[in-house]
Amino acid sequence: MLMPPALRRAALALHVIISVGWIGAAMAYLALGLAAAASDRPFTVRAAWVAMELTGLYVIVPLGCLALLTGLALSLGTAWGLIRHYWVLIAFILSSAALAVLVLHMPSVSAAAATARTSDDRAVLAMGGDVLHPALGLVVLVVVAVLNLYKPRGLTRYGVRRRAEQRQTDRVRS
Amino acid sequence: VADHEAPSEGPQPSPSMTGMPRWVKVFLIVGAALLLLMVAVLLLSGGEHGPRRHLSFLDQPGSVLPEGTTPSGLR
Repeated sequence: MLMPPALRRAALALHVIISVGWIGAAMAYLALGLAAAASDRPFTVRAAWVAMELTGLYVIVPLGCLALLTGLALSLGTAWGLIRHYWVLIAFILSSAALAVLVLHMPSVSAAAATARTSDDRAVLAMGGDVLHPALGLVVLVVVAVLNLYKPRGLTRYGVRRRAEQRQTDRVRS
Repeated sequence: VADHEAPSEGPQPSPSMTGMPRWVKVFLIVGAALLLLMVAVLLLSGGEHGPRRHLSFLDQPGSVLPEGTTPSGLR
């Protein structure tokens, strides 16, 4: 069922705000991960790990879930569909993969943060940071954002079939 | 981040429009290459790529595992 225009615009506004927030939060996480990796001050490393856990659990994961849900609602509630256009399908797969990796990665971050809270300075300095996951995640999120903005042409087989059916229906009605 | 206005109907799909577009093919090839590269790096590094990679410090004096946490729990 297609959304009425007012609802579609509201859903779009929500989706844009949440998606941009997800990218911004991932950037903040990357800054913390880099700080933990590069710093030679135990306090900074300890604080960075605690902040990475809090940012991940209470900002990045919720935003990722909401971005996926609002994106799903928008695709299914508009003529774009979820599997009619290659760009929508690829954006959905990449977002889902990014969210899955994020959720699977968070227990490690929580364990590291818990250890950073209780270990002595020397041990904390040996921890290093977390750069690979947020960096790769950001690349994926930026690719998804670019796909959403450019909307490159290309219908899937299902999309071609649906469009042909739609044209047939329009012709019969007229 | 999409502008989810209805997609324009555009011209009748030509044979070139109904096949997989070139950008999708390039996207898939680059994606597959990057995925293979990541798997190779993971295998070469013994699967250690997350924060646990940095937790070898647990062998050092002064490191304290939080209550209820085991080294395997860090995985």
